[in-house]
Amino acid sequence: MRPSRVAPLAVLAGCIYYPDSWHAPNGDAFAGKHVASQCLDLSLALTDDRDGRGGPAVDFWFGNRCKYSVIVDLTSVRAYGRDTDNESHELQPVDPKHEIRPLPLDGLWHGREEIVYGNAAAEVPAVVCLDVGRVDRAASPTVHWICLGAADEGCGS
Amino acid sequence: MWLVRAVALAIAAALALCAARAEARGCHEISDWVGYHRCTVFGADWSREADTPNLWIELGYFRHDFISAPFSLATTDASQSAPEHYDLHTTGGGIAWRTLGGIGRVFYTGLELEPGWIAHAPTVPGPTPTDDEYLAASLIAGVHGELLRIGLSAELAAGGRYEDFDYCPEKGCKDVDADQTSWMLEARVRADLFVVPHFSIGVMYGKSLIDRDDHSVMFYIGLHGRAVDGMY
Repeated sequence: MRPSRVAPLAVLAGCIYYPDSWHAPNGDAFAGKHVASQCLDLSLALTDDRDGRGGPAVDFWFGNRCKYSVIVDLTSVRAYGRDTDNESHELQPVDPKHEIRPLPLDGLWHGREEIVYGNAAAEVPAVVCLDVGRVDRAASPTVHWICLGAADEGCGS
Repeated sequence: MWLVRAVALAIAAALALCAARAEARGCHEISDWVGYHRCTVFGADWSREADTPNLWIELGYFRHDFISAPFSLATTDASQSAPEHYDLHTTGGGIAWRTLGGIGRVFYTGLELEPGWIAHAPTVPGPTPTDDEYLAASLIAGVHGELLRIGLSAELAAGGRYEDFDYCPEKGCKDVDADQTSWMLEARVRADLFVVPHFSIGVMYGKSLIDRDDHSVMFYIGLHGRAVDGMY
């Protein structure tokens, strides 16, 4: 084929999320720990960003492995922090405008959101554990804890 | 050749957008105080149901074939010239600028401006037009849907156009010009390929509901405030 005919196909092929690739179409790797569910490749990482409220900022990357749209429900994420005294406390997403809600993600597409999780004590926990078992609405609800932090310790519900 | 260049430009823009770094999204400082950020709306980058303005703009090239009204740039009365002296087939071309907004998931409306030139002037008695202008403006109303990242639309465009024909030999324009205005009512179909949720390349074909010899095509790129215009 002539290049002028190949180019549009290359554009199309290059701008989709490839299942299990853990990379955005622009080449950015999904940072952090990976969790695969029925339709979502989800990765989580702590970032250095803060919103001034003292909580940890979690970077969510997600790619839709399926060819059809799937609901990404980040409101379903439960979060706990564990401080240096080994004391656990629940964390809540900082969402002053009440924006976070379940939203559809197109088939073979990807998204990224950064959410700060805060607590009343406004302390930054040493370890943050998040249950992401219900983020993929296409999959059966489960409990799947992922812990992030310097020690990456295990957390229980 | 212009079509190849237009397609190449559209593809280059698409690749650039496709490869855009993720840092373009997210938060930016709104204060010198640490911690004061303004962030993108949740889901704006990836979901067609995010709370972002359902507006989009399209920029492209149009070509409009139509029949001009009889005129003459000579001192003779055009209405008295023999019909065989006329070939009034005319082609206008130029830049198309469209600003559109979605109403729900299905309907959309907007405004279209088409400033341009006469690519093919009609043959008339007397001097052949050597300088010309073309301008059209339309109100748009349509319905659209999406399948496999291809937006399909049907729309009506109602408006008017203005053409001006001048005879300008080497030493400036003669004081003989002819301008004319016409109403337009066009039925159109469009196809838009969403390379990424906020960028598309598209093609449109329109046929006049007033004059059967009147039709137009358009090639354009689109920038979309909401992913895939919120279509389903």
